Amino acid sequence: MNDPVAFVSAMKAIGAGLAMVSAIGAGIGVGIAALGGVQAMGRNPDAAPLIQTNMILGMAFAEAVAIYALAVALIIIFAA
Amino acid sequence: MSEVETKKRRFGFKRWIVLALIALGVYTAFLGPTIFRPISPVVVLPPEGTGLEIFGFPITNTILGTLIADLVVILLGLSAYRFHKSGQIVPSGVYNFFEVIVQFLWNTVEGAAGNKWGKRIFPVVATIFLLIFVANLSKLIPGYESFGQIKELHHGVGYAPVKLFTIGSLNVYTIDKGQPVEAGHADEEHAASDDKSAAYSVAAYAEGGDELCHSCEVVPFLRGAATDLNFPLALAISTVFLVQVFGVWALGPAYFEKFFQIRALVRGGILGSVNFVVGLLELILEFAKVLSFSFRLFGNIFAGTLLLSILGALTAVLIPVGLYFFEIFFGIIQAYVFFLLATMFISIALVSHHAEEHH
Amino acid sequence: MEKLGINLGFLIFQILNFGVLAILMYALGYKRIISALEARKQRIAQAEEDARVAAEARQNAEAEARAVLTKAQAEAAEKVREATERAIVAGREITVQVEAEAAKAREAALAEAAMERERILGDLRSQVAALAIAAAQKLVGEALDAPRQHKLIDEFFSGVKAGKVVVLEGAELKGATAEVTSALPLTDAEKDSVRKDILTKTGSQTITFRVDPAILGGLVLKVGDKVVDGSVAGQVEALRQGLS
Repeated sequence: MNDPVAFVSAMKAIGAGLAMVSAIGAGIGVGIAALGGVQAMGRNPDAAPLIQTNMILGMAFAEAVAIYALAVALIIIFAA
Repeated sequence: MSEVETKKRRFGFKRWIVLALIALGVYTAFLGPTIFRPISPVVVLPPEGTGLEIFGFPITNTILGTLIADLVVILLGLSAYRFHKSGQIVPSGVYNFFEVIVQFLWNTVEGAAGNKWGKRIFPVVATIFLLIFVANLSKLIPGYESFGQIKELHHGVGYAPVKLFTIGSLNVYTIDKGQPVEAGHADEEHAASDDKSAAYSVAAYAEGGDELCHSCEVVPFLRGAATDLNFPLALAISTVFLVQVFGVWALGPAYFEKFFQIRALVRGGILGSVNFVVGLLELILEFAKVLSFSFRLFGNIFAGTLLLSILGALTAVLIPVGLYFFEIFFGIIQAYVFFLLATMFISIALVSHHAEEHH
Repeated sequence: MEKLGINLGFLIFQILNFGVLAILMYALGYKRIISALEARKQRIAQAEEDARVAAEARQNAEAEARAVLTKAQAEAAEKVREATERAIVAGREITVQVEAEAAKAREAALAEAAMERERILGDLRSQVAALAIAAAQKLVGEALDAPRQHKLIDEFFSGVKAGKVVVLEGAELKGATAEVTSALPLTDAEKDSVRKDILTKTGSQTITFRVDPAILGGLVLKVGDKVVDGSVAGQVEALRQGLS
């Protein structure tokens, strides 16, 4: 507490960690996408390429949330 | 009988090699002299200069990495050029590998955008894939991020340099994990005693071609292209820009109605204004695409590099092997995801927004 | 931004790098590879089509060959059957011919044998007559004059008296064919007289003569389906029945 610089960097670290909490949601989303994709491929193996493409697309969108969080965390640590 | 014996011996031989490597790893990481011990790298986001400059433009280590990836990709392209010039029919060697990749990509692109537009967008997306693919895999080559210049660390804990051997006028140093030096102290010490040691230092610098330091870090000559935000950001900006270009190419000015749904606004009603706002949101989404594209690639690769070096510094043996496989997998997957998303966005932009609405 | 490492110069460098690389790669490889891939795909499709056509053709050819084979087999079977039939017919013909020849030979042999027998019996007749006369002389004790004796014996054996068939006396017989059975062969004169008599009495045109020593003497006449028994054996039998 006596060193304001150390305090600020500690707070930055906490903030970045909190920002990355959104990775929970992204992880769940990616998991659900993979679950649905694999189930669909199991039921209809003929449509696997189409399902795979759309699955990866969906996973990418779900992952985007975590990526924004990552961007925010990086900005907090390095740029703010 | 003899065959079985040779087989057994060969298996045993390989096993001994692996065991010897593990023993060597354990020795260097935990038992041997401290200069062999792996050092946790200094985490820096921006690319570091290598001291090279072309017309005043500094060549950073990530730019060198990018250029090496470019070189490999161009060599692949040259193999294709040579093959098709030779008029052979059966592909072989490097070209065969290249053709397998291109065929895979072409099938995906053709499936998403059709034959006609597929041919137009293919050079863009295939180059994206190849560049990221080669960059991600080449950065896993040992030595890629460990050879470099020794430089003075400005804050944190650095290590004292140790001279290993000399080739001609070039002195090769390593940094010793057994001699940690606090950066701030070193600076102060240096500042305090600059007058006395100046002559000696200058001589040493001139001889070694390196800048000797007290609290040192290694600045690698080569760094994975994707660990520099500029590389994925450049690809993302190019991709999103090309999405608009291809959209306009396919639909003409009508493409922009996707963002500014003036027709819906004029038609009126609550739904019309909602549609207008949604269109504006799509415009914002285009910028979000740039962000997600670039940070996805950068985040994955940078985190992978970080994980590899930090875990490698902590447990130098066995665990990094698994992580290397993980990194190879992720390198390929990220290249594929970037490629696939680019293909998808472009092929979605090719289709008229209104045509869908009317159906 | 500077701290994240984003630098306008580097960014522009990377964009240019990407653009140049894309154009270079397009010029070097993509165009050719894609056209080669498409050509190969087409070639494969073509080859598959060709293979399909060839397979079809082969199937057709196989069917045709099978049909031809079946036809040939049927023809061959037909030929074999015909040949067999012909052989059987020929065999049968030969058999018939051989049988006919054999029958002819047998008939000839039989006829010869019959003639021989008749000749022997004819020879026998005179001896029997002589014996009978001798025996009668012994029994009767008187000698009959030879011509009368012979006449009697002839009558006994032939059943023909004074040019008339004895059994025909008082018998009403009509028929196209007649069979005359005698104990010993008749002489040609007797045969003539018998023939003449029967012709006049019954109207039979064809008369066959048989020899059966079992009837001892006299004649057995068969006209149509009627039999007139004028034989000695028949008379002895009738006498025996009458006595008993």
